[in-house]
Amino acid sequence: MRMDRPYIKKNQIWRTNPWLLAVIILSLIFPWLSPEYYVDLAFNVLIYVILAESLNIIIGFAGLLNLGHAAFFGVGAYTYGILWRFFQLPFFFALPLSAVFAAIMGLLLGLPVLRVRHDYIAIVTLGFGEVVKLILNNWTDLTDGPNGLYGMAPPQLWGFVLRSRTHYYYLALLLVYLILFFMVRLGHSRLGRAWIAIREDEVSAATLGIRIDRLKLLAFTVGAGLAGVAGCLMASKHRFISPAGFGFYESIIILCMVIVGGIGNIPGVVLGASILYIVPEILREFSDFRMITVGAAMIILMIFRPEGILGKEKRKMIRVRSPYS
Amino acid sequence: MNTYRPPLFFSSSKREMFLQQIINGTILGFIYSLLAMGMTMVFGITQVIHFSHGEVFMIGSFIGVGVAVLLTETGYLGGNLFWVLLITMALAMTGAALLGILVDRTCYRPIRQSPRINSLVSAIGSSIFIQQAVILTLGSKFRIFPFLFPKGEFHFLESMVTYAQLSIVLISLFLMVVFSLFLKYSRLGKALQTVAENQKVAGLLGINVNKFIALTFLIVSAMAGAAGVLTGSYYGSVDFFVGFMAGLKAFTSMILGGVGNVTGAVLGGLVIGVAETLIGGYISNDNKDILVFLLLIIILVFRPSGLLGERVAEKL
Amino acid sequence: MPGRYLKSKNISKVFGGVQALQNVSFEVFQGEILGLIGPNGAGKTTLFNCLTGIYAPTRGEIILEDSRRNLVGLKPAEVAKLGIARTFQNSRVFSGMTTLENVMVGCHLWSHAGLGGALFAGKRVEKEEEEIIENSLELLEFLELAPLANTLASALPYGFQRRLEIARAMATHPQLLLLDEPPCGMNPHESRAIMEVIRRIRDREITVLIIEHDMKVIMGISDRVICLDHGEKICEGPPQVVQKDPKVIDAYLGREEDALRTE
Repeated sequence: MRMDRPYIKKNQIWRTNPWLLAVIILSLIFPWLSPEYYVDLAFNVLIYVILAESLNIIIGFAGLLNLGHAAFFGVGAYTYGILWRFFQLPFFFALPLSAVFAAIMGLLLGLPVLRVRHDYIAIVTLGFGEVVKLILNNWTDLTDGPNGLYGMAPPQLWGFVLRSRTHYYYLALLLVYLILFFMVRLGHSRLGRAWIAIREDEVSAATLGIRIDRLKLLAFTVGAGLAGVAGCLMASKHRFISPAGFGFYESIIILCMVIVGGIGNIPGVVLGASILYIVPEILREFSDFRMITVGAAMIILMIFRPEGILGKEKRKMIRVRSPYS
Repeated sequence: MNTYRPPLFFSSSKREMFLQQIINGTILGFIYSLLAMGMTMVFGITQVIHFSHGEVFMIGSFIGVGVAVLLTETGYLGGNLFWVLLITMALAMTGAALLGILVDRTCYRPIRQSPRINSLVSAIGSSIFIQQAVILTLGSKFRIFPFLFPKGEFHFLESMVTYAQLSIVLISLFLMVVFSLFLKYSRLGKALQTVAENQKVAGLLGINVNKFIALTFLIVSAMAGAAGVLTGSYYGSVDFFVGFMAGLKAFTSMILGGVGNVTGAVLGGLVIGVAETLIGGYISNDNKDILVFLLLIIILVFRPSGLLGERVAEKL
Repeated sequence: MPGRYLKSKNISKVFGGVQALQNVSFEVFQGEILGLIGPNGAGKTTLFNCLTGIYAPTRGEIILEDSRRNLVGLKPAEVAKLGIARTFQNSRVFSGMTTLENVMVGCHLWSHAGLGGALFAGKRVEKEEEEIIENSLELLEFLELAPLANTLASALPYGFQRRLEIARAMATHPQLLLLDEPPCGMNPHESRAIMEVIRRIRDREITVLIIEHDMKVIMGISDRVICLDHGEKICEGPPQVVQKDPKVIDAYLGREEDALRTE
């Protein structure tokens, strides 16, 4: 009976995605091939990739519609800004702190979300985002209000200062690769499966012993923490932050990046973030039409292609060398 | 929204001001009731939060301002404000109703059968789209809305109620009464209740569910349009942003009263109107919107079924 | 004489004016197949929901014999951890995952890898994943779904989805398995096969409590039967006895169409 025991082979990610190697190599040599302006653009795209993927954890894995994600972005940025303002804390010390504070905010948002009905999660998260922005605007002792914070020093690593756009680009690229690697692993881990189970059918998941509340909170915490990382990184490059950049419209755009890419679809969201950042950049003269296009896109996507550009995520196939397959 | 400062009182004691605030808050509350009724009905039938209801309200006030300005400046009706108000409301209600039906037809109907999260996203998209469309075509500056109500007020208990406020109350009550009579006694109204209670059964009975949903949108949007005119004229100005805030307050009222529960929505609107005015008067006027929002979150967390309990079937 | 596994005392459940269950008391013995019958609306699924923590009974207790714990008031995940698993009356597989992954979710209960495990997969995590996969494959084989391991669950025919749900529930290593109308949606051939599977589940020393309103099915497989009607227990005993009980016949005769339906 046990003779033909199936032998489990690890999934060969390189074999199924040969273009991946090309993309990685391209991304590494990209700054040598392009003018500074594009390297700058690429950096911003990478920031949004981190943001969108962090939201992807909350929406795509745990299935919670979060309309206030920009708040975590803002908390991360302001953590660095405030720590710099008062303590001149260097970037690489501020980075983990940004993540931690943003994660705590995520936890705080998760708590009321646990208690409300599914339909209202969107509203609660929306409100949360507005409240955070309000606090950033009004707690002037800490944040200098609408004037914003500026002058954060560039990151320093043992004396080596990251000054040029290229340096920033590589730093962002490193973080993006780490995060993407992390997310792909998550998707096929026990935790990832539990999250997706919650997204698909909460009640069934609970009867299988999955602790719904704890995992929802975890999703918020992790997603928020990563958004905080993006915020800190952005603050260090742009050297200026203000509450205006972390409001409802920002949250909606990040949401659209996830929707366009496909909820739960990790490479899709990379694509979604890229498209939704680059296209408005190219069409800069039409920036007035940006939000209306976003609104229309949301409607059209939901009607015609709710799974996003790349379609449904491809679940990993377990290779089983056995009589059957 | 511009804050309306009531005229001077005879006495500046806190108690008199408190009563005045209650009165002002009640007026605001009637507006919210009109909006919340609509939102709760739509949710009761379609289980979708009609995010763009606030935008329909805003369009109503924009149509209103256009018509009212035209009529008052050309003196077409000989300055008879009653007729100006009537025509303004009629046109705004019609325009709003058409918009509401359009939103349903394009943004909600195609994805009725999809998971609700899709409808939610589409709803948000429609709200953003309408708001942006107004900014692009009509600009982001506010417009002055002519005062269309009878001037004057009457005093009692050292506070006063202006005739404008009285008009709003009367018109709102009129609309609500007409609506409830329609639901209870007309054939269409009774069929609407059936659809609300059980779409599947209604479908089996040969009722065209989509048509009735469209009818719902027509009615609630018309009421929102009316509310838009009343608000615009009362506060004196309209701008593109009123929809967002009004929608949020309407949503809060709806939750407070219990989703799907029309009576609850009316009560919820009144409570929120009074609460907002009191918060604005005694705590902070700049932050009152956010504080109402916080109130919403507290309600959602601690008493999500609202004051009167949820219902999918609505009865007034 | 098999030991008692669980005892329910006076379970009542009221839903805003509707008495869904009233003073339902019964016992479940280890290793038995206990049938729960009754016409539609009798409260069978409500009872399941009370047992698994989805509803909290308005009154009553459910005591596990060995730990003397009261299940009432526990959340579903806690009940699952105590060794009780269930399926639902309509298919609730996770449509976005493959068949194998669905069962792997069932293994969540007894595995441990968390956030750290997802990020830094050491030897221990890898080994656990392999264990989970092997365990799941074995269950798929048990339910004859192994060839479909890599198929997206939403692509499975309905009858297979119902089987997948059983495999998934079994993956939690339960001591008691609650099956809510397992043959629902299956053709007669599949139904017979499922009944065979249930016998083999009992062979694995899992106690089974099965809701079914098709008498023929229940009689063929149950050791004992409990009959509910209008929220009350009206009969309990071996199938042959219950089958002939006048109260039971009365309850079914009043809704004859349901008893005759094999769906």
